[in-house]
Amino acid sequence: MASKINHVAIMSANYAIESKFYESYFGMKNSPKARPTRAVSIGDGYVGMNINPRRAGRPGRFDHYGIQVDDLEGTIEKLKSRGVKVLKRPSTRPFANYSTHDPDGNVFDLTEAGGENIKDVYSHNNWEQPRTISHLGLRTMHAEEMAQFYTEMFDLKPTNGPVPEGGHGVTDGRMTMMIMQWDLDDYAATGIVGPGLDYLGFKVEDMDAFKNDVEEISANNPLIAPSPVGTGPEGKARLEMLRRTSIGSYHLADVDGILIDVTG
Amino acid sequence: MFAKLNHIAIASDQYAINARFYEALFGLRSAKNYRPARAAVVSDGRVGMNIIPRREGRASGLDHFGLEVEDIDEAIDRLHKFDPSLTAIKRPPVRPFAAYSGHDPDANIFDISQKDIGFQKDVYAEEMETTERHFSHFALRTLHAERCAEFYSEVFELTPLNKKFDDANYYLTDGNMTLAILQWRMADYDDMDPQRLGPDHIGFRVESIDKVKEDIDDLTGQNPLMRTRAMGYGTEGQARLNLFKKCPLGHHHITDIEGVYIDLTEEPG
Repeated sequence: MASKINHVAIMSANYAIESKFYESYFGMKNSPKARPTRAVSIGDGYVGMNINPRRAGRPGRFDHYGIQVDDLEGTIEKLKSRGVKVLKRPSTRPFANYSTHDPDGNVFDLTEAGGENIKDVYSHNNWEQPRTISHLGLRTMHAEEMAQFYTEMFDLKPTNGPVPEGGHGVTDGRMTMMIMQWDLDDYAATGIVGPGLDYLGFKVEDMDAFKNDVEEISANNPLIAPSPVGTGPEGKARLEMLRRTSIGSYHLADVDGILIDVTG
Repeated sequence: MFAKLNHIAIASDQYAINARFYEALFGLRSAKNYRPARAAVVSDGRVGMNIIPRREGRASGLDHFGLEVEDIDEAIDRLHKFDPSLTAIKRPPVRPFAAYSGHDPDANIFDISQKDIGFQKDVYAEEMETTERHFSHFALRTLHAERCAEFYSEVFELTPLNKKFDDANYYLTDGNMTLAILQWRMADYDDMDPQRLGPDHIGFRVESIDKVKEDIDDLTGQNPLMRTRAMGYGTEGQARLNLFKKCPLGHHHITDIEGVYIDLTEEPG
């Protein structure tokens, strides 16, 4: 069974400007059939990113990811056999047929390749570009078990590429989930964040060119300047933790503060 | 009581204006000696709320709660006895409330402090009169509600309240505040996006829900930046509101300016 991790979603109180950040720094592109009232959907030619307006009762954050499978019914049967609940989604979603969760309660979307529901960038995702979403970081209560869950349920493979020390990398061949153990002790010198998605990873064609772009774009438009990282003792501790548990050599945060790990 | 729930924290994209909202609508008060760069800290005289600027790597929204205990060493000892895999860590000294932070079996985070421990600051160190509108409960939505309820009952001696026989949620009180532990179920999100596990909403006890409604109208007219978020619109909005209404502790439902759920009750505690 083939699977692709090809959807990520952010909830944002600044969803339009947040989109401009990813378009400007990473060259993410809008769908020609965008639906401006619901959310911004942008993509890199493989992974689609929905930036949804934060709704009442919901947090603003890097919220969830989605997996496309070639056999939806078979996947649902496998998930149910593990005691995991699967929920059909309203038809307005451009990506998700279903939502489900892993045994630790990490929620993700499911869709079927070529499904009728697929809209926006998910139906126009066949271009190539120099900067792409390459990985995501997930901190969870039972990291080893969750890595096993994703390999068994979706036929994702342990990556041959770099993985943070102590982490588990499972990949579809292009996009990798870095699954790490959530441990309260990691937050001893900084603000505590509960289990869940931790960072978004990008691969860029040239790190120096990317850094130059960061400087130039943020000077031209301060509204889309990255949020500061590594400032003050707690910020330094958080950045050190990110460096230790990611694979990139450059780290920044988007305008909402979502952490980004950049590899060359 | 061995413990009282006297701290709430929101991570905010607009921390200063959100604090003004709670002051204006609920009459919460700022500390006399506060540190404006770190957070806005307001209180109802018993429960302090830190509205923290959202930092890198954090989500915005209702973030965590805190318990003040009679004996912090005893609390940590009980936490380890309940489940040796649970941990608590000492916090950097800049926090006005927390000496330690810990988590329950579902990784819901809470701070722990001890009365008269010496370092408490802001509203946590000042004597304040209780405001007429005050916090009534803090609600979590979690995977293993029963196990978490056992945890807070055994470790912090919170007292379970009676509930309907078919209610999967749990309600524990310290005599003033209630910790509502709501069962998270995927099936509850049939007509909307699934919600995260973790903090869900806060509740206020008010003298009159009708008066609060009038005050919201007046407040929004005076200052449109104080408007609450839209709720209940469209099928998905209605589904979200219906789920929120299932918590029996509140009888009217609003949000703050950023969308944090707030329910209101007139019933005495």
